[in-house]
Amino acid sequence: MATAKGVDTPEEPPEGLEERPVTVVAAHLRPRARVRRPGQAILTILGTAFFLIFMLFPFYFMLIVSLKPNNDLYNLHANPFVLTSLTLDHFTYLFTKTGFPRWLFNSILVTIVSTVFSLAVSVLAGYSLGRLRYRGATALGWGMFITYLIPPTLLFLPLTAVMARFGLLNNLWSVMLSYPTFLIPFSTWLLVGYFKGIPRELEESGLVDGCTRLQAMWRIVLPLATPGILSAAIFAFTLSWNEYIYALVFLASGDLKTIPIGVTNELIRGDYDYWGELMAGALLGSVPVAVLYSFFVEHFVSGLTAGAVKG
Amino acid sequence: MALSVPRSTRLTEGLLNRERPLGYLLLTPALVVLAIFLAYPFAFGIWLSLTDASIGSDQYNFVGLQQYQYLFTKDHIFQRTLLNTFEYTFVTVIFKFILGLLMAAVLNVVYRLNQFVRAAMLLPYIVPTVLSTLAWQWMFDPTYSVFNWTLALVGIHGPNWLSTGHWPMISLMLVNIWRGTPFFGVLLLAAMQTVPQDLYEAAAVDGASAFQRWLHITVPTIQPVILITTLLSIILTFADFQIIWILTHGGPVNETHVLATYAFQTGIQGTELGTGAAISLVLFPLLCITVAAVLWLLRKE
Amino acid sequence: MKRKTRRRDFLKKTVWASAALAGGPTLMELIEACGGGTANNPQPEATVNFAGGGEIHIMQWTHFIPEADTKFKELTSRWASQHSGWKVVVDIVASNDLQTKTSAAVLANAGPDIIQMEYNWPWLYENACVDVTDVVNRVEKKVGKFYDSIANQAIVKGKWLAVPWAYTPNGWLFRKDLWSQVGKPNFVDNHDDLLKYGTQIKQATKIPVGEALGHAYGDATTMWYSTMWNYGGQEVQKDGKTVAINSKETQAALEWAVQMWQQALDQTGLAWDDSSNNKAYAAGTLSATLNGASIYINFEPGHSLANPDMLSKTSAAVPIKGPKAQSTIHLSFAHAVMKWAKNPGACKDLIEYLMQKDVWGEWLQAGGGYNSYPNGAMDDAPVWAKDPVIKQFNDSVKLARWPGWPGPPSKNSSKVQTSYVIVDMFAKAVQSPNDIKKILSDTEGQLNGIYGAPA
Repeated sequence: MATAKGVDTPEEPPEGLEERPVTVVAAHLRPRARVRRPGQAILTILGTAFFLIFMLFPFYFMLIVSLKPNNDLYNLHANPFVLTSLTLDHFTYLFTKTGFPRWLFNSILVTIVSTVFSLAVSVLAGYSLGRLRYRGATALGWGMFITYLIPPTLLFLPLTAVMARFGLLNNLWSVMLSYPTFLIPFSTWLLVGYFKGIPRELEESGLVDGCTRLQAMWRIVLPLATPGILSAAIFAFTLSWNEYIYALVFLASGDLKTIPIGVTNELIRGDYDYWGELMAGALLGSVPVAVLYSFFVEHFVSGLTAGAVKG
Repeated sequence: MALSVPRSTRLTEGLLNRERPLGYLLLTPALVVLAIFLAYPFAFGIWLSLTDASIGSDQYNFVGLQQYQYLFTKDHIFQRTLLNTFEYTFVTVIFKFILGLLMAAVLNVVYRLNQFVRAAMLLPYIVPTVLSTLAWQWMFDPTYSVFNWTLALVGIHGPNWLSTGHWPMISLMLVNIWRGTPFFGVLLLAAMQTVPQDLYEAAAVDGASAFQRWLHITVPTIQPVILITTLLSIILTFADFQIIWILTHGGPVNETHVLATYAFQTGIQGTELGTGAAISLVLFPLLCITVAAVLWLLRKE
Repeated sequence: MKRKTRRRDFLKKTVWASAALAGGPTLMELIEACGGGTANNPQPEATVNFAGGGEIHIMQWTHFIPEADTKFKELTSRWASQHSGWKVVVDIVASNDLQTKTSAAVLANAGPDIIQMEYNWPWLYENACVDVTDVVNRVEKKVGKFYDSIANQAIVKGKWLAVPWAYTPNGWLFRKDLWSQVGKPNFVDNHDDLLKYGTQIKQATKIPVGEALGHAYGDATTMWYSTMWNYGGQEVQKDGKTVAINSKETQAALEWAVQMWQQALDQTGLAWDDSSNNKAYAAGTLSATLNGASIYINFEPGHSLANPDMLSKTSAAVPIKGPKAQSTIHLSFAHAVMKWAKNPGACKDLIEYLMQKDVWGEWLQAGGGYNSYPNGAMDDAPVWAKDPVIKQFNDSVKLARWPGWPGPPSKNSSKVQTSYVIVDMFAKAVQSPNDIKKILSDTEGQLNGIYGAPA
């Protein structure tokens, strides 16, 4: 059976958000251009090297600092690029003297709950906007997109008051319920594109065979949309994992902090920062998303592009 | 058969099989969440910006548009902040676009270790910004800056990255570009790979140079992706908070504030809730105009 | 009770969708489990009622010296162990974020029962603090009156809204080896000499004096407010309304700052936060800096930057004087009981317990003498007798003023402080020394805007 990947979007009339006939991206990205001349090869190597250094240097530096003993770290004559001696003190401190394990747990919990919740809601909404025809769908689709223009930095002040009214401040639910405000618009938007790319005939043949619409959606459309759902999930996971401003304002207790908040709140001590520990925390806080991406980078990219090109 | 099915079930099924009721039904959860946690606070924020509310005092008055009037006519820091926000967004988006295009071109050729290289380059975009910005803070440190240490090796006295002249703004932009380039790079790469190979081959047969092929085949094909990527990047950059808050807190001399950080300083730290809400709301029409412009370009296509 | 009902209703409606995911029946438990147990039902009581037990949340900053945090938690649990069923939770927040959290809590009308407020925050959050005059009266009866510089920040309109807890005093830390070279082994005691000898050291060794001139809420405020006062400048008259910044005196202060900047100071200071001078000093790139004792204490054995060499080279001195005054600002803390606290009586009892000299003394000891009691009652503490360097910090407590001096530490003076008007005035002056007159009148305009006088 044909999957959504590599299939041209059907030539449906524009309905709802602007639809354009473009090719949905192949799930497995392959290098297309071949190196033909030595000059090009050198340019490519230089380019790759430049980007790798520019993109990875801060992480290299994080690693170095997190392993450096303090007397090397604060010694101006020591070469900052290399390790002359190595210590795990900063990591030990993180796990024994701070709430880091707890922050890690909170980050995971908050991320999973808000991702799963947002995704469930977005799949339904995306299906509705992407595959069903009804009055108001266009306006609702636009409304959904416009909500993406209300970033957290604009909302946190009044949202604090709203959370307070619901008695949810200093409760993990405050973030688990507020993250969907930016996850749902984006995931829905991405999934609408994906759902639109699935040929209607497949679903209609299911309906003819006696499925209800929901059954058709569950058995036929959703499996075909899996890559899109996966990339929305990865995206939602990342955004929740990285969120800062809501968590900063809503969560105060040490045992409720997420990693970005815990690290900045408890390792920046007034006029004395724990640089080794800060970098160790930054490194460990980055690992989960980095691992996730090294496995799913292809899905992320293809899903995002498919959603994006839809307009 | 039909007779054995209870009437109510049939009705439900009938409703669920019709597109319109089902459409509304499936949309309901999303709308409920957004209404409570987004639309309502948004409306509440607009109301706050029309008052002189401040944290810690119970009384407040409706003041109409006075907050906005004050910001635009009297508050020099705000005016500077507004300019900064545009400058920050405009400059970084251009750089992110150019570098992202180059990155995509490079990645499009590299084929050994491809997955590793691509995942590695995406790192700045995916790890928590606060955490990676802390690494930059250490690299910009007035005393321990690794850049200045390196420059000193060749006898150059490095700049005061986060303090003097234009350097603070440049440093902030550098970090933003670092974080945002992979987003462009990877999306543009994905778009480039959708260009049918035979188009290139045909053009090559016709004697088109690599640059001509790029200009006449690649660019037109990936244009929608370029526009959408730029649009998303503009939205995110306009509303940026973390990089600036961690690195400079808007200083020195309130010179590096963007709307989000100034709203935070005024509304939360300065406890002037009404003013803070007004500052952050200025973002909204700006974003709308920008987005409308980009969508108009898309439609014109 | 009403509140609670509303909360449940709401949750039923909105979280319904996630109920299936979160495991339906246990939803309420989940919500409770995810919460920090914040109080919603204030029950103001005249007498302390410990019956039935309870939980008190205290929010405070991350102390410079981690041992002080640990000790503080130990002391609060000791109080809890004396009252069966009670538990104290200490929430620790970065100093930069403490005000964010406080604002959020006040806005929310819910949060920690006790907030360790800094500077004049009781003035800012006036309506959210419980009157604690009774506690202060009892404590003062035992230990004597609190110093004005801390009392003025906690007394709002005749009522104590917070119980003074501690100063984190500032003093000059300097390198004995460098200052001996210019014949000042005990540092200098006035602005002119700081400029003169600081310049000499910089010329001879390239090592400058360092102080933050950026948005560093502790160091920059301390240094530049006191410079202004020492030359006789002030932002406002004693009435707290009439702006008085545009004076010959302030101008003299700015002119000193310009010379200091050009000749003796580390010019990266414009971006410094509170940690920058610590790092620079530890790296050996500063001859002196105005700071808390953290720099010195961290060189001591057993601390993270243990460095016997730097420890032996470092000494301390009280803040310097100018032609008109010898003044400084110290970071000060006071415990406020918030109006949403479930059991204000118990909170007050806990605060009173912590103020006892022997209890407080343990905390002082754990922090290595980094803090000072809000009056002279602890001046004979063993930490200071043991180390004359640390004692300098305690000695400088009496020189303290508050932002907005000589007016009351009002909401307006606080706004001036948090929007860095005074610090930025100095920062602008060193960047464009030829525009001092204009900078003064601009600052006057800004202050008029804040203090509400006609522009």
